[in-house]
Amino acid sequence: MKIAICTGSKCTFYGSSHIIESLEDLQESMQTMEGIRDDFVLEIELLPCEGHCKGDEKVAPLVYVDGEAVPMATGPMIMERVLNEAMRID
Amino acid sequence: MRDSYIDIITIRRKVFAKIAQLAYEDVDLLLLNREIYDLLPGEQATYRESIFRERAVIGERLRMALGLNARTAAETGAVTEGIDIVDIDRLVYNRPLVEVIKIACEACPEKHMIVTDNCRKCLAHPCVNVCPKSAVSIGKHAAIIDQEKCIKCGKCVEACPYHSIVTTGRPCSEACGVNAIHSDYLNRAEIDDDKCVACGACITACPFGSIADKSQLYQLIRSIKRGEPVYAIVAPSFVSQFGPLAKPAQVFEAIRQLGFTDVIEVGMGADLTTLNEAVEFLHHVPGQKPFMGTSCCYSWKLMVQKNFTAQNDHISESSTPMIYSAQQLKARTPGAKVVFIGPCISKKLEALQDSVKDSVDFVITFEELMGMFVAREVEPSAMQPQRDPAEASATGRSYAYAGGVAAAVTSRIKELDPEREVRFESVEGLHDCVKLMRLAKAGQKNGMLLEGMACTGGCIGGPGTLVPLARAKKNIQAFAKESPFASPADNTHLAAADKPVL
Repeated sequence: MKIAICTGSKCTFYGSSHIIESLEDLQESMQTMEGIRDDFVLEIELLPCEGHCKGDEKVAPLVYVDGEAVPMATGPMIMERVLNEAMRID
Repeated sequence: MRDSYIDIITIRRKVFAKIAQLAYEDVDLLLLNREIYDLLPGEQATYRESIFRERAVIGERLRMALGLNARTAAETGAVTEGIDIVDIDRLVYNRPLVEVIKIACEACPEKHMIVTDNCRKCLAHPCVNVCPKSAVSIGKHAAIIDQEKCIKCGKCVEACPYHSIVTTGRPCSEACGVNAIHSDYLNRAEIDDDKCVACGACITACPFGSIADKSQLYQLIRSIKRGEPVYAIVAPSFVSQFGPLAKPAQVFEAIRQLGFTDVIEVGMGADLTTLNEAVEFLHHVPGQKPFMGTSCCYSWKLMVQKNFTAQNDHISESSTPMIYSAQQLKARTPGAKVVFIGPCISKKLEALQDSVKDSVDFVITFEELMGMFVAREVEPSAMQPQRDPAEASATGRSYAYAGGVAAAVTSRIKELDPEREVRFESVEGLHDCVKLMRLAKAGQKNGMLLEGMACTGGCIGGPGTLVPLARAKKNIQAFAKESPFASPADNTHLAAADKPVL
């Protein structure tokens, strides 16, 4: 699973730093957490500003979950997406 | 900065970005009321019980960010009341620096122990048996603590096998290392300005965002817009604060983009502090001073000044990195306006001292600077700088984290006098600073160099920072390694005449 986080000025200012910390912390917790699929890999990518937030107050912080844009993202929102995927039973 | 307080942090930051935008765009401050609706639109409350109160609180935040005092409900009139006195292009300061926004304070109870629903009213009831004041009894449904009798020793908290007794209290006063917060007549927090050392720990700790400091952001931007030659001097802890992809050189270039004439590292001034403190230590310890405290943290210095009067002379007389940097800059560039940009709010007070106010014109935090980047849509990581910052030695850059100052000074002492064994101790957090000074006062730290940092982690833990400690420290250590100068003595930006000798 790939989470890409915008780290431009506005996203950083309004929470992307907290999202990065939350995910790195979760990544560590998942190593000992029960029910995580053996083949699950979390990739965290940091993106430069691509300008999507300019002139729009309802974008930052912007995160992409496997390519899907999640505007006004929060740590809990993204962590839940990650865990749902990591614990998915096929 | 406490990352998990993201909602409160975001409100504060929106206010900084808004104030920066108003200043850059020459918006008439008399229209400030409109901006409140822009920040908090609609009819529904997001944070508190009512949108009316939310807007009133953010109005006071905007006023404090403009440099005005926070008002109580008894005084709250139009948000623009008295605003003309801050609508200028030079520093304004209304005492005190750190204030409780009374209309935002939720009057948290002072420290006490409470019995939670976990209590099973057990037969053993160790809570009763360990209480030295007979304050705990077993009631109909659970243990009961008589708050009149309780001396808050915490024995019952430790003894309960169900963890059912907890200590609760006020995050602001628990964070305060100098006991400066008490209650007003409505049990809200009140800061005693005579005791406060402006470390800002209470601002970071309050979960309701009810404490704030005043900003100089608006007046600074007005000064830049007037076309004055405004120079930024940037504290060593700046590395990695402005987005994980922004390199130090890019941050400096981004600051220039905001209209600053140029940018220099305060690490350069830190080098002068190191050189001076090393000579001072060799000259005065243990002869004139039984021990020597470092000089760079202004809250630590104020704490000693206010609480350890007899030991005040044992703090280094050397100037702080901010002051040395500003003086160097002003000596070379007559007419320059100097802005200190750092993680710290007590520097705002330091800059007001009679001996300093001619050297430093404004002080803002990293958070306030980021508000300027956001208002101007400046992206540090997209900058293409011509040169790397190269004004500070490796040890000057390491002033940013706890232990870095003592390490810099002791290694300089070793250079000057390889025979001399220097013992040192570094403490972080104001509570531990006070403890250290108590021991020093009792004569237990004689012969030592004492580094006091009011913020946990040192400057990288300051109230005006944007990234967590561990990340900041790692990046600063890497940046320190890139310095062209291993020792402050090698720093070619400092005139030989300015470097003290034994």
